[in-house]
Amino acid sequence: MNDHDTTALRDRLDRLADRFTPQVDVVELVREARVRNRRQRRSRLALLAVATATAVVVPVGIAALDGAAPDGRNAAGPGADGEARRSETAEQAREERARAEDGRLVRELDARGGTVAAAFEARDTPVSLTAPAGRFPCPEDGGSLQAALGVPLKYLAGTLPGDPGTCEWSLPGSSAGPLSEYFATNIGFSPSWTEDDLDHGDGLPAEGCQRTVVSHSTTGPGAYHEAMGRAMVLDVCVQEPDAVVHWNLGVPDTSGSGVWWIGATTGTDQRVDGAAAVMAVLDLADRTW
Amino acid sequence: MTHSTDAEFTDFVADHAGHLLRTACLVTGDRHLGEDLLQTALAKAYGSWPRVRRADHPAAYVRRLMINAHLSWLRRLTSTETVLETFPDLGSGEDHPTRYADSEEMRLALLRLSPRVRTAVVLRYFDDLSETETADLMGCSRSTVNNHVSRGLAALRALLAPGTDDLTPTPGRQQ
Repeated sequence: MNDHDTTALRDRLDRLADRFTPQVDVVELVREARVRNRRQRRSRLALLAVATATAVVVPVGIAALDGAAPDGRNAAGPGADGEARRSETAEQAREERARAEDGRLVRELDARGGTVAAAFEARDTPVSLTAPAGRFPCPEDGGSLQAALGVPLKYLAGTLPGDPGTCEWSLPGSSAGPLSEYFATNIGFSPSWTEDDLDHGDGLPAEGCQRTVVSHSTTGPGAYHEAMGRAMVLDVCVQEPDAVVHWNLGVPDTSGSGVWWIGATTGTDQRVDGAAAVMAVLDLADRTW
Repeated sequence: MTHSTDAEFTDFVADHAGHLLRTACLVTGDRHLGEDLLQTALAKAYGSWPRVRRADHPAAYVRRLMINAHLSWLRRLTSTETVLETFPDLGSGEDHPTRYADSEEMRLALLRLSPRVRTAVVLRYFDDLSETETADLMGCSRSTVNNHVSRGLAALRALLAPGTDDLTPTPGRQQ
């Protein structure tokens, strides 16, 4: 430990930040935070509605909601107590609609997570993933994934564990095409992580995500049950601003040596169902490790 | 959001946005991306302000939102694109030429670190977080943070010209 050396780096970072960082405009930051927050909620709802048509059937009264559209156009008529009152009414209406949109988003994402949870609970045999020692290769053959998902898949890269090292498969050409048609799925392994790390420290999913705790149909006590009896954690998230849906399933290693991560990213076209992809990759991993 | 919570949020921004923006600019290596990153985190914080204000350290909570967003951008980039580093101008340089040169050298050196390595170095030595805190924020293990930081410091030693500072930094706060 050398305090002088550490201080030197800190000083240089401080000086760089002094020069590099623009002035803070508090009013503008607050205004922009409000605008972005509202825009995000609107885009989440609109694009999730499209995705839902091909993924999870959940009754959604989008048309009715949009019909209300209390964004100021219909909210205050002429003859009210002036511009301030009209503005306040429109603001309240927007807030009410935003709350309704948030509630609907939560139900949408919960429903998606629920499909995976239900599929796991219906399995005859529990999942058991045990990481080999050291670095180990990915199962490059995506044939079983292709068969399960009904689409051609290209294996990209991977050796586990690594950072960000994952085994990843995607639709050929998907990366270069429109984001709405994007699909990729992957699996990674974080050694030395524990089940507690699944919560990212605060027990809460990130913003834009809904969390589902996925249980197993385990039978009887024993070491396996001890290791896996606690939950796998599934986060289903909507990524702004394109409403791409991310699935991220954290699975504790059976031997307790780390945590496996199974992910899927689907564009709004939902060419591949994210829940099915997570299940297929988990099955492949279960057979491999 | 009520007027009172709006006022609380505004007070929070006034108190903490300055330091958060400095961190954002350093981890992204770009003042515009840094502004966008902070704005992204503030928008999320605004949307869940009751949760943020209940946190033990709301500023740390928002920093977590910010780093999560930053690393989320990186994860998307690593699977779909190549990260393109930019070398933006620093803007008007009223400083003394020597100080300008010092900052510029440091900025270019940071930009040559991989994004995750740069993030680890900035969190450890600018935000003065421990290895554990940095690992928690970055969603990786302590050993990964240690590895990132070691690589980053080795690269910085090689990139930064010897002279003004004896930059052979060491691990800093341990827990």
